[in-house]
Amino acid sequence: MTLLQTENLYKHFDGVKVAQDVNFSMEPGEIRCLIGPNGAGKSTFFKLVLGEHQPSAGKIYFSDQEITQLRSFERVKQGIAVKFQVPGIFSELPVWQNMQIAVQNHLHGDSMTAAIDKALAFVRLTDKAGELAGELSHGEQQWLEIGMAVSTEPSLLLLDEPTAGMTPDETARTGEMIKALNREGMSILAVEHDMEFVRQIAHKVTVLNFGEIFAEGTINEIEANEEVARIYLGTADDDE
Amino acid sequence: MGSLQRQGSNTARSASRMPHWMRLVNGPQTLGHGPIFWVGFALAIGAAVVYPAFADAWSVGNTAYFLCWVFMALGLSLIWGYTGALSFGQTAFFGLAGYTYGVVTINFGAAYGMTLVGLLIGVGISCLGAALLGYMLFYGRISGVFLGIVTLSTTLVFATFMAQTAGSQWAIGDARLGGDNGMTGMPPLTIPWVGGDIALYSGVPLYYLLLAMLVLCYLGLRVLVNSRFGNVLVAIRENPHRAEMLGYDIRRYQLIAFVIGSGLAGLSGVLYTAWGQYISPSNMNLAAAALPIIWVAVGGRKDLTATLVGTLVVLGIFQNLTIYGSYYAFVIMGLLLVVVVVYLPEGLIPGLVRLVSRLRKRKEGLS
Repeated sequence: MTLLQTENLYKHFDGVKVAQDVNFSMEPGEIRCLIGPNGAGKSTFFKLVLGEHQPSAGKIYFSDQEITQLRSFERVKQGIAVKFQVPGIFSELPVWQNMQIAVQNHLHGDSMTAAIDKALAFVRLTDKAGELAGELSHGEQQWLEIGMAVSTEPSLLLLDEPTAGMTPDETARTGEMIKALNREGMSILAVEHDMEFVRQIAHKVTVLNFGEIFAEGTINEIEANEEVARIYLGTADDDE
Repeated sequence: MGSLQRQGSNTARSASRMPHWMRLVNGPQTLGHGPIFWVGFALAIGAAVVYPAFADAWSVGNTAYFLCWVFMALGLSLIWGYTGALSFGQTAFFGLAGYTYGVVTINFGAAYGMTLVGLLIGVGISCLGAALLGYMLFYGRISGVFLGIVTLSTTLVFATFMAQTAGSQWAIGDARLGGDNGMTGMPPLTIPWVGGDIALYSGVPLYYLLLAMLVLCYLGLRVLVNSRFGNVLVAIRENPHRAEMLGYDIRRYQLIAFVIGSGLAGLSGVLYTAWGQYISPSNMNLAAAALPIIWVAVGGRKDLTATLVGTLVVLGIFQNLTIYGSYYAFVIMGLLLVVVVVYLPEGLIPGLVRLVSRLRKRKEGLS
């Protein structure tokens, strides 16, 4: 079974092609990182998968079911969750209630309370359960959002630059969290610019450029690819 | 509001461990959840119950008039304060229900509980109207200031239309719409009773009926906003994108909140019409449409108790201003809105609670 697959996916905005014939697939249990220069179409690809954009052409499959026409909340119910680049939390509500809103859709009573406590412990925010989410540090807000996203029990977690604005310490912790989630069976698709972080977590890397899949492989294969280095990673020639 | 939310949040976690019946009316979405609050609530109800014994008939009738409006304010608090959708046109549903009550009761009379049927039909029609308008708004992805513009336009169009229905051809059965002069001649709410119907003219029985309805409505809304449904409404207000990405069909939730809130506006419309046996387009014009916004904003739109208390206080102030200050009343109400929006955007009562909370903390720190 393929977890996520796109078939000849296109997206045009007023004639500007931001996704071109994207044939992407990832297997259950993978951690896949999506890299590419600015404007390569990474965010658009995420939005297409999430249903925030409708493709100009092509199809999207999740767990072998076509989801191209489903709305965003229906895709979430199918098992896709997302953490946005800018923390998408409920700032004026307490941390505990943020988690409750995430969990209450599928759990009730004591099992809901237990799931919230477990998720808070996982993202190390148990002590801050009563604080307003908007008063957490940036890194903690990112973790809270990861906690909310995983509380929906997804099989695929989309992470849009999960370490943006984090300290090196927080970045390392986030990497550990992602690997722990993966060990429990969750598949991860992350857009990330920090190559050190990509090296830490990725099983496989997909490079996008001008809305097309430019290269795909393990991190070692991608780093050894001279064309990728030229367009994205930078080479000694570029520095001169 | 931050400290208020945090105060409320102290129960956010413990609420899930409360007995079920307490959990229903308490929670992070409402100010006041401890024994002191509920004792105060019981005392307030007690005072309201004995009030007619110490007041003259005019004052009781006048208080009943105030109570008529509070349902619309609570409905707006649900739509705007809890769900984050500013509807400027709740008076459209107020008027729709009021006219409907008039048409039903003028044609079928007050016997056999027909006024209660008229009440139900009036509220039902306002809910139906809200469902149609809300579907176009929320499923059309209209939000923010545009939602306010469309809803305000709706009530103004309705008021303008009703204002030109003066001719005798504008009648439904025996009920003449009456144009600018409005519709008159409908009976008051009448309760069928053994030994003869009880007509609730503006007096003590009507006051008690309205008081009982208000308590039930307030408690019912507390249950609603502190339920899972209420959690989703607040989530939509705070961050609709995130709420959708947690698997909620936010448009459905917005629509349901809009229908419930507009149904309450309709209830106000029927009660007002039955109280004064009169409804006119002036109840739906620009000034009328702005007043509920002021009541709710001044009291504190994000909390039902603040809305309820604020509405009654502002209504009292407004009435006194209109008696002693004539048209300056609207100017002063406008100023009040501006001052509150600039200096206390969450409303007077949450501002007061926050001040008390700070003083208490300072005192604890000193001791």
